[in-house]
Amino acid sequence: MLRYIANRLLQFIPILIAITIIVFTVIQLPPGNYLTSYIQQMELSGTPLSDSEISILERQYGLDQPIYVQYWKWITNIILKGDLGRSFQWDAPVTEVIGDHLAATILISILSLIVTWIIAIPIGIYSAVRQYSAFDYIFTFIGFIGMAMPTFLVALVIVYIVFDTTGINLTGLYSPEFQGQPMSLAKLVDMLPRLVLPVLIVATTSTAGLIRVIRAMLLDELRKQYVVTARAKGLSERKLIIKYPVRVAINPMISTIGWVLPGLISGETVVGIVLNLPTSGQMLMRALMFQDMYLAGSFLLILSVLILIGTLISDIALAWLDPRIRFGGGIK
Amino acid sequence: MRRNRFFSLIATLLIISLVLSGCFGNANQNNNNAAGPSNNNQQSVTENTNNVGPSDIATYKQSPILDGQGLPPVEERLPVEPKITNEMAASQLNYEIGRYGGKMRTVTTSPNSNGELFVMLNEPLINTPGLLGEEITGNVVKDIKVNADETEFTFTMREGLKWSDGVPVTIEDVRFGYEDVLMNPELTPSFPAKYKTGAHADGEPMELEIIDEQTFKITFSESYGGFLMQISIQGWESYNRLIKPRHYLEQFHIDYADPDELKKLTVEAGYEETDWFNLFHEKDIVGSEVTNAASIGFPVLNPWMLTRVADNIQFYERNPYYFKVDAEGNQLPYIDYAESHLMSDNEMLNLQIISGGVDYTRPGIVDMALYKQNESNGYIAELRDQHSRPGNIYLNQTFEDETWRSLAQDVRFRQAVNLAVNNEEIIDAIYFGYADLPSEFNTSTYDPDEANRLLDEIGMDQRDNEGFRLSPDGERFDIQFEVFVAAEIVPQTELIVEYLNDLGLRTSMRTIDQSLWNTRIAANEIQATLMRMEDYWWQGDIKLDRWGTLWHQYFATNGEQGLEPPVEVKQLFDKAAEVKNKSPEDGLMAFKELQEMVKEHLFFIVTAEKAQQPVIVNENLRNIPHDGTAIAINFAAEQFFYTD
Repeated sequence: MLRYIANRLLQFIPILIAITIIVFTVIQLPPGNYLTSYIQQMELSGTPLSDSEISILERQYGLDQPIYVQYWKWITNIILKGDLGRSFQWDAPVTEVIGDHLAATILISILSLIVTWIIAIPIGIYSAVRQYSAFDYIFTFIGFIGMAMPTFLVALVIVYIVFDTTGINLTGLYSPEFQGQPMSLAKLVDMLPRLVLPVLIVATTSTAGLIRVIRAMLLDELRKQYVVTARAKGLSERKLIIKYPVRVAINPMISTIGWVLPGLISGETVVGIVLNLPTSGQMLMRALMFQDMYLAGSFLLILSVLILIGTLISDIALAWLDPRIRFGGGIK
Repeated sequence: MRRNRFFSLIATLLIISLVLSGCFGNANQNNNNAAGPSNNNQQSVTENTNNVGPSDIATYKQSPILDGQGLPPVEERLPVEPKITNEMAASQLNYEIGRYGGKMRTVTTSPNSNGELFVMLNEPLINTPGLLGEEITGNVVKDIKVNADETEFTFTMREGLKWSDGVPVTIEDVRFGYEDVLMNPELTPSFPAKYKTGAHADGEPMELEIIDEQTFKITFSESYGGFLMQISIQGWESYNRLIKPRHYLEQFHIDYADPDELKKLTVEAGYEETDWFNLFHEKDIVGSEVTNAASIGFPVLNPWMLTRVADNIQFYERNPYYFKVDAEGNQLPYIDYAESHLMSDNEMLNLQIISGGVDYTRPGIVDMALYKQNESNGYIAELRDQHSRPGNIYLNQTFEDETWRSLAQDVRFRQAVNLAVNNEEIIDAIYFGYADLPSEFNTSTYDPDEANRLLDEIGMDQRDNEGFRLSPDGERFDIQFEVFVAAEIVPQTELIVEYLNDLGLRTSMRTIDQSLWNTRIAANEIQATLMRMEDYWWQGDIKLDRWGTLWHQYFATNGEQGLEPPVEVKQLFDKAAEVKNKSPEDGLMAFKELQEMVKEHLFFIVTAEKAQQPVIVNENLRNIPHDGTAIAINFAAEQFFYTD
């Protein structure tokens, strides 16, 4: 086992190198760079920069060097100094920008995940056990609608309805009294009701998928011989379902749990944008739009590392959970 | 109380009468006080308005939040002769003396800046009320005198003016800004054009001479009356281009700082050891950088200063050493706090507006109906002049296609295009009727028949089997418009394409990315485009790079690259330079001549003028001008106040 893990960790290095090169190159592909889009933005907003200012900024940003020099400086800074670079847009170190956004993002992601599981697993089990019953159809129907509707549309519609009926502006994470104040218990309590909306929206769209998966896996299992045997032997219905088939059915969930890790910090981008939450998805989108290369590159690098680690964790977890894998059997 | 009212009434009457007389009788004012030993006949360009106020003001007052803060009394914080605010022309605003208090919330979609607030905060050396260019008054400096040749400009500083941290502003700050920053080749690799004679890229740089503790003189090698407009408003000029807080910036300047300490700071900031100038520029807050987080702690002369950033909100507080007062001696601004809220998305910005969460902003016109509908939530939505021509048609006459060139350079072809554009329809469909028909640079006549006749006349009377006109050589002829998404450009281009197709010209359009558009314009790769153009006459802008890229290159490289332009383009270019070069009255006349030249040759085609934009204002805000451009309102923000 340890050798397996060590092997996998060694594989990370070439993968990460390839990822960083690709990410850095793709970010630079659109014509121009951060400075040119900044100049253009200033002109559009009516405050054009003079030639003198432009030449000063060009020097300051150091964007005139060839791409491999910039890449090399960036990578060496990360490895040797742990310095992820500086964000042009926010005019602050990348670590600070990402850090500021992480807390809210992780909070929303974890809560959404928990809510998703709480809703999806019982419904999935119920759907499978009482197949073709009225409730099964109802839940399936709702599930499909949830899957089909874009999250931002749901968010916009709900926000507008709330505003129209009550006049409350539901966007943003804090109400006006607490904005800009240092974090306190009162501020946290004030924030919680505003979290309900994004968590619910994100959860409803991902529960549908999970319900269907659990339902399908469980249906498969419930047809198997051992279930019939257990029933014949007098095991209570509930115990027999939960202890054996469900354990197998949540296999796919465990194997994808690795992707939860990067999902935690990238969060739901569109919902974050629509609801004006200070999440990292929003930050990444802006960084990519304006070619804020160190911010975008570093953030994507972190995400890639987390995906790799997450995949490793889920492989290990699966091996631990499913004895068949350990003993070399595999799923029939 | 009564005495104050009486004096303020006298003061206001005097100010108004002086303003009126000043507008028409500049030559009669102030032929005394020639500051320099050489040139006599120095005329003060700034009005006497400021000299009336201070002697009539019994006491100065300050905002209550500053009481008990341990600050020096307000008389000591203000200059000896504070500036009496005059941000708007008297015809545009019925000024009310305001009350202190309140917080002004603005919005932005950029993480680290706020264009709206920048203009509110900005303070030039001299100002022109209403941004009209009709009148020039002292602002950060008390007075400016111009000699008869318009080659010497003598500035008188405000005695007792102080930075926001209480340190006095002295002539040494001017010397630092000129000798140590502008004239330092490492800090200023290319001297700013507006401080060169005639605002020409290859003009002579100005010479600045310190006369005494309160006076300095700027000299140009040739007459440059346009300098006044250049430093009062053009490019949102700010005092900090010339007057810099020496006491703060010296520690980052190689001539004054400890070399090792400076090296350490430079490397810490992430620059090469020898690139101290990059660190200096990072620390020196100029222009729109006042709304960046980096400006926290930097000494300024603006009405508000950025104090902290949290939760994606920027928090601004009043500057206790701000140099302006109203006619009754109340230190400005009236409003104590300002905020800038970061919005992730345009729809969220709209939601913030209609729920009453914004106290002042200027959004696009597209959602005007939505703003009007929700006015009960505590704000007023009105329309104001956007100071732009929102969509000019530019046909690139130097595009690399011989057939196209011969046609685009034929004025009859451009006339045909002008006649084919249905301006009324554009204004109704795109701007909801809130724009004017063009009349400054071209006529708005809509006459497709005449347009067709003109095209037949220049030899495009043959049609192909699809009904589209062939070029005079009998070849297929296409026009391709390339635009990027900004305001209402795309829908407007769609209409233009339709009009030209109706004429029989095979026209199509492509929407490309903004940066790509810039690159292609510069590379002369765009055949035709649509873009907005600002409409302040003192800009002297002809946007030659959009309708004659190779000619623009010719001028920019002094003839080394590009193509030599025809005579009329050269004349136009010189006329535009005159507009920037000459004093305001002559510059305005030159602008009118420029308009005639464009009318004759139709270098570019204006589709609508004086487009309006909504201005969202909290219903309790006062001293909002009822007239004038939208952006001029921003300039007057220190005059806003809240009623109950």
